[in-house]
Amino acid sequence: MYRRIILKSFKIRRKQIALAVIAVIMGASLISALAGVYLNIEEKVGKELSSYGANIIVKPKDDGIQLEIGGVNYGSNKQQNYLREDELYKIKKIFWKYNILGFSPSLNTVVKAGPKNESIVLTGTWFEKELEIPDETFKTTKAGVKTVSSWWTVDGKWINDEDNKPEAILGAAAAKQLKNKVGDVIRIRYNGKSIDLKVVGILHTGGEEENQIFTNLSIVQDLMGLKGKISEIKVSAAITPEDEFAKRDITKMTKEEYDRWYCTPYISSIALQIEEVITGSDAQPIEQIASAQGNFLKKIKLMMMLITLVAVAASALGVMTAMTTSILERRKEIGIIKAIGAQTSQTLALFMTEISAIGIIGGVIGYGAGIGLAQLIGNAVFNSRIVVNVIVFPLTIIIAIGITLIGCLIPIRNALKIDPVIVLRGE
Amino acid sequence: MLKRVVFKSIKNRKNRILVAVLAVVMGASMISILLNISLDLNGKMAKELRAFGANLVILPDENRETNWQLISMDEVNELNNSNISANIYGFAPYIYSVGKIKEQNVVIVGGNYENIKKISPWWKVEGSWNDDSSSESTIMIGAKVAAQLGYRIGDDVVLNIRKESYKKQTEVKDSNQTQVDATTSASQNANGDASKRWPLNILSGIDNGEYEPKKFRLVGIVSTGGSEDNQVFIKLNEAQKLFNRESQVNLIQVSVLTNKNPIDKVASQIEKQIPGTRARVLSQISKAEGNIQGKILFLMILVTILTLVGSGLSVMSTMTTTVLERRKEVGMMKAIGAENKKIAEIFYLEASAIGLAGGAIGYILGFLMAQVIGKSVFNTFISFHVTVIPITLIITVLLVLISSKIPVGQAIKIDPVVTLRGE
Repeated sequence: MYRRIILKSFKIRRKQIALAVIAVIMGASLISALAGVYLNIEEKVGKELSSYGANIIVKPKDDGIQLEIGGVNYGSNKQQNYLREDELYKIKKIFWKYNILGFSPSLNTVVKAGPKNESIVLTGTWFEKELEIPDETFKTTKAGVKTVSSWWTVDGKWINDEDNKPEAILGAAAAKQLKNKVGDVIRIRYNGKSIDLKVVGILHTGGEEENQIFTNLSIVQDLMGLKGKISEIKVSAAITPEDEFAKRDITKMTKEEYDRWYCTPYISSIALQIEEVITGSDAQPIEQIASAQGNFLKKIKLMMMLITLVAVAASALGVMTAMTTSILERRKEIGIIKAIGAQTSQTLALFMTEISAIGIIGGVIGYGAGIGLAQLIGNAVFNSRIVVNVIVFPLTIIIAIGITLIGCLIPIRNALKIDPVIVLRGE
Repeated sequence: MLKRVVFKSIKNRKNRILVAVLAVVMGASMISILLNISLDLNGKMAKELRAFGANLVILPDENRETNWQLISMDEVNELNNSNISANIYGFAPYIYSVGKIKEQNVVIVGGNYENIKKISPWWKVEGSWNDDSSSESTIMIGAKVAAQLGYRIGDDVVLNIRKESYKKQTEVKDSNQTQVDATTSASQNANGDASKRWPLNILSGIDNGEYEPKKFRLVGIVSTGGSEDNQVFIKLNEAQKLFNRESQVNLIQVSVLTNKNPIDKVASQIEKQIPGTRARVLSQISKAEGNIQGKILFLMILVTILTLVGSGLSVMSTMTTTVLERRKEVGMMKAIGAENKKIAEIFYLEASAIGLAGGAIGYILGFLMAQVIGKSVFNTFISFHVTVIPITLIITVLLVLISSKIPVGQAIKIDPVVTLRGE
């Protein structure tokens, strides 16, 4: 009986039902799209913020005080310690390996360059090296300065890591100082040894790097007689903002708390995990980048959350008003049902079933449409897919049914209170 | 006549109209919130992104560099009172030298700590900062220096400062052609060298200079994870005196707000304002900043459009039902001789009234909610933008009119006989 009435109602009032469903779809798609984007915002904006460069610096432990200005080491007081190049791949094997967006090893020293024997810093590094990672599904990863310092630009060409040719990239200021240009050969002297490097590019960074000469890591290692050694690693990691929990002393945590801390991508836990795999290393967050990233991420997340909440509330109210009007125009119907002897509870059940059906249909279609919209946003803004969180589906459906029911409740109750005679008379 | 009909209709159908207005208010408030926030977002984000630190450095130009000239404090103050100050969030002048603590070479930095606090908010200082205004000789040291040399807050630190370092260097000849001897430490490599270029000019001649001890009280330990961990910090005035470089600085770090003018423009403005300097844009910070701002703003625009479409459709379905349920009325009007045009006019007028009322209330509501968001996210209020008012009103009225178009078109096509019969 119920089923027949409802099916008939859907069939005869097709247009009105369609309108109600469309209203629900709109609301639901907005909810699922914004919820989808919101749940992804930390990861996406976090990735974008990685364009600020490395946020973790790994140096040898027990390193002496460095003569360092603007992030560049101009030599140490005592015998320096070094890290091992062959351990670098392990950075991509830590618990948060997928959060490691790039890393770059380097070894530098002050050398004499050019005919005037000018002092200059020579840095050996990887540029964009394809590094094999054993026992991982992704097999290889790219590492080198290009993965951590996206703002570096080179006039000419970059050095190929595989070729191992005696080539150099000159910082723009260094090139001016040495009066060299692309194609020149520059003589480098260090400790009585000398090598000739061919200039293949001029580097622009806006930073202290413009005063340096860059070449392949192995060339500097050979020059300094430090085979397989590096002096620092810069790591760029996607992080989650530090909260109160992250600031606690890890030595005072219980086992469960420590596990929770270890398994959250805080900058401090990622740094610790890197320290664990690189022998004799000291990994420190670069506060300038890390803390600003964390704070900015927190703000943007809060903003998106508030906007999502407001939009959800607004669209919910919008759907509710649409549902209210759709019931208001059916007062006569309610009068008839009552006149032929239906009880209040029966009438209510009848309408509620119909409305729930509208809510479910609208909710499901709206969810699908919303996921599509979220993908559109993800592609347009962040150039990557939005990962759909399982929680979005039940959330959307529950909200969709909830708002349709609430939207109808008041007008139905009002309609039920009315004497059928008055309604049927046509007032 | 028309006025009376519309007026009566609104008065008699108070509930329905209220519901329709409510639907419009929701849509309008979303437009108003998002527009208000989007218009302010660039400015707000530019401020937030200043947390990443300086995006521009002012250094002496090559000509000055070759002649060992630095930047004078008068030139530093140019940044305060010129037409560029509106673009500047903060700046900090620095002077550098090299000294020794317990026979260890360290980089000594002279700075203005009030300024540094503002443009480099990530510095973690255990203990307290150097107080720029006090006359006591205090020092802050980097975490690594503290750990290596075993200093604690409150200790006395004896810093050996190189005397007349700059004078010595000028005497070194430009074309020092002697071969480098086989030394192991890289820092020794820089000794007695002709390098005049920043920052090697600070480091050259480390071991040849005369050093004079000076006692400081240790007030704070700085940790940043950057170069600062290896440096020691004294007050700018004191440093200038001790380095024999009164009223001069090596460089100025500037934090430029990029929402009004592009940073390259500000850089060239500064170079014009302070001749003999070059303003170097730190691409690391400035490029990332532009990228992030662009993305977030784009995201906001998409969300605005999305909510607009979403709330627009829900307004549309509400309007459709309000019109459709009045078919009988339309039939009646037609039966007593109203023209189609007149009937449409009544509906559109009524819709416009709903749109205006909903738009106005929605604008106010949205403005208030934007304040709540601004205050809780950025800790500042969203400023008032006049343009949002007409935009919100126009969009909502248009939305309501467009939503009414289809149902009104359908309603006036109705045969009065059919409707009046009661179908």
